[in-house]
Amino acid sequence: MPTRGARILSTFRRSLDQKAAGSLAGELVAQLGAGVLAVVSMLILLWALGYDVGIAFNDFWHGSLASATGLEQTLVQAMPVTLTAAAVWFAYRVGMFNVGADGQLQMGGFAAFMVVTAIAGGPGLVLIVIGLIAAALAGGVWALIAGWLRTSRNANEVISTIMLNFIAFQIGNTLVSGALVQRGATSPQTDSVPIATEMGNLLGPLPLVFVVAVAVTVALVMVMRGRRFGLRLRASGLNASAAVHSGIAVNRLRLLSFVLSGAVAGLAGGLVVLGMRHFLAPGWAPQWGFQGILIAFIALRAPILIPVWGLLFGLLSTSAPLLKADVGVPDGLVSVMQVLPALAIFLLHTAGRRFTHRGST
Amino acid sequence: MHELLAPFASSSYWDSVLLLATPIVLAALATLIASRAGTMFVAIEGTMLISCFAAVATTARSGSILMGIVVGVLAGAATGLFSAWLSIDLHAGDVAGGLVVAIGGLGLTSFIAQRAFPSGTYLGPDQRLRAPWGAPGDSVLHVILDQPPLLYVAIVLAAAIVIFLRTRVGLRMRACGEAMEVAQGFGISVRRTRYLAAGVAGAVGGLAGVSLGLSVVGSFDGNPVSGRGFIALACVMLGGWRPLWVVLAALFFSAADVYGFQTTAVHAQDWGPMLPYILTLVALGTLQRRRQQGPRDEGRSLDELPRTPTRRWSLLSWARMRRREPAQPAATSP
Repeated sequence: MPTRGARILSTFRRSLDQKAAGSLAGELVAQLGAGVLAVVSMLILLWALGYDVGIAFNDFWHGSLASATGLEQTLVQAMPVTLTAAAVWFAYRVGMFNVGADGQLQMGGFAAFMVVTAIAGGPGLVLIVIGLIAAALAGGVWALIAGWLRTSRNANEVISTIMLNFIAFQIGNTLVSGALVQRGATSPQTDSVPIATEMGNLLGPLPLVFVVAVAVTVALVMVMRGRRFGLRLRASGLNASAAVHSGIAVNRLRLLSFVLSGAVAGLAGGLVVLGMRHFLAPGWAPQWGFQGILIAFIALRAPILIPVWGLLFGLLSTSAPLLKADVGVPDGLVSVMQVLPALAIFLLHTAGRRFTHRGST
Repeated sequence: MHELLAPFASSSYWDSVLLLATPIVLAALATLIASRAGTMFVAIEGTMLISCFAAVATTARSGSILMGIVVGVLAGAATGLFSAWLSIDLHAGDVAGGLVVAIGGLGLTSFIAQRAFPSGTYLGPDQRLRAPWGAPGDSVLHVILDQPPLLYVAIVLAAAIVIFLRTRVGLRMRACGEAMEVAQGFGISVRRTRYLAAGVAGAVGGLAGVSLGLSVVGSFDGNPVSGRGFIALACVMLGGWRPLWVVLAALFFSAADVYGFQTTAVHAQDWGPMLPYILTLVALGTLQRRRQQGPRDEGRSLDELPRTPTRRWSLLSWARMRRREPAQPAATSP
C-alpha cells in the first residue's frame, strides 16, 4: 500500500516523463535553430555596422577554432561559463535563483590560490586536488550565506547574492593589493601559483579544465534526472507546496542544492587559477557568473547542451581581441553578441508556443 | 570626537550622501512601482545605464540639459517596455530578462560611446544639472538646498506614489501584484497593467540615470551605474515596499556608502567599501519575515493565469476589452 506521499511523487514522475518525451525533439530543433540564428545575426550585425565580415569570420574560424592554439584558448575560455551556467541551472531547477556565481567564483579562486601557495611543496596532483576542494568549499560557504538567509530568514536570494558579489569583489581587491600582492610589482597582482600545480592539456589541444567542466555538468544533469533524489529536487522546484505535502523537506533540499551550486561556481574559480590565469590581478573574473545565467536560460530545457553554448561564449571571448585588432570591433559589440543567443532562443520558444497553441484555442 | 564618528560632523559628508543618494532613491522608486504591479524590475540596472548614456550624450552634443533629460527619460521608458516584452511576451522571466537588458545595455552603450565619441563623453561645467537657485551661506541650509533638483523631484514622487497606491487605479495595479487571478477575475488586464507599470518604472529609472549622468558623474565612461540598480532592488526590500521607507532605505545605504569611503579609521580602505553591502545583508537577515514578503505574485508568470478570449494586443481587441464582461473564474481548468 503506497503512502499518500509516494502516490503524489509517482504522479509527479509520470507527468514529468510525459513532458520530457513530448518536448525533447522540438527542444533540440529550437536549440539548433537558436544557435544558427545567433551566429547568423552576429555576422549580419557586423556587416550592417560596416565591418569586414570576411576577416571577422576568419578570426572566428581560423583564429579561434581551426588552429590548435585558438581551439585550446576557446576551450579554456569556455570552462568558467560552462560551470557557472551548470551551477545556476541546477539551483534554478530546485527553485532557487543563484545570481551570485560571480562572487562564489572569486571566493573559490582566492581559496585555491591561498591554499596552493601556502602548501607549495609536494606532488602537483595532490596540490591540485586540495586546491580545488578548497575552492569548492569556499564557493559553497559563500552560497550558504545567501541560501540560509533565504530558507530561514526568507530574504530574496537574488538580492543577497548580488550583495555577496559586491563583498567578494571588495575582498578580492583588498587581497590582491594588500596581503597577497607580489613584492616589487608595479601593478597590484599576486605571484604565480607553483609550476607543479598548473593544469595543462589532457591530450592535444584539449585542456584538462574543460574536461572537468563537462564532467561536472554531466554529473549535475544526471543527479537532476535521478529517479529518487533527482525527483525530489525537481518536485521542489516545480511545485513547492505539493512537494511539501508529499513529505519532501523542500527547504533543506533547496539549501543543499544552493550550496552545491555555489561549490560548482567556486570550483570554476579554482580551475581558473590553476588552469587558466595562474595568478590574480584586479578584474581577473569578468562577469562569468552573469554570462552563466544567460547560458543557463538558453539551455534551460536541454541542459546537456550547456557545454556547447559555453563553447560559443568561449569562442566570442577568444575572438574579441582578434576582432578588435583586425577589424576594429570594440569590446562592447562582443557583449551585445553574447545577448543574441538568449534573444534567439526566447523568440523561437515563443514562436513554437504560439504555433502549438494555435489549434487548441 | 571619536575617530569613527568624525565624518558625521562634516557638512561635506552629508552633502555627498544626498548627492549620491539621488539616483538610488529614484531607481528604488522605479523598482517599487514595477514591483507593486508584480514585476521584479531587475532591468533597472540596464535602464539606468542606457538612460544615463542617452542623457549625457544628448547634453554633450546639443548643449541643452533639458534635451538631455527628455531623451534620457524616453530612453528609460523604452528600455522598461522592452524588458517587459522580454519577461512577459518572450517568457524570459523577470531576472533573466533584466540581466539580458543589463548585459546588452552595457555592451550597447560602450559600443556607441566608442563609435560616436572616440575621445570620451564629457560634460562642460555649465552642462551639469544643479539646483537653479543660489545656495545660501548657512552650512546646514546649504546641504539641504544645494542638491540636484531631481532629489526634490524624487521626494515629491515618493509622496505621490503613496497617494497613488490608495486610489482606484493604484488599487487595481496592486491587485495585479498581490493576487493576479483576482485582478483578472475583475476584468483587469494583468498584462497591460504590468506593461504600463514597466513603462512608468522605466521612465522613473530614466530619471535616475539622468541624475546619475548629469548631476553625479558628469561624464560617461565604462559602467557608471556599476550595480546601483541592484542596490535599488535591495532598498525596496529594506523599505518593506512602502515608498517613504524605501526613500529612507536608499538614504541609509548612501550614508553607509559615503561613510565607507570617507572614514579615516584604521584599515578603512579595506573594509570601508564593503560596509553598505554588509549592512544591507544584515538588515535583510534581521528584518521581520512579515515585512520581507512583498507583493505575493511578484515575478509570477502570466502563463499561470486562465486563458482569456482576447490575449493579443491590437487596437481592435483593446476596444473589445473595454466592454468585456468579467472573465470566468478559474473553475474550468483542464
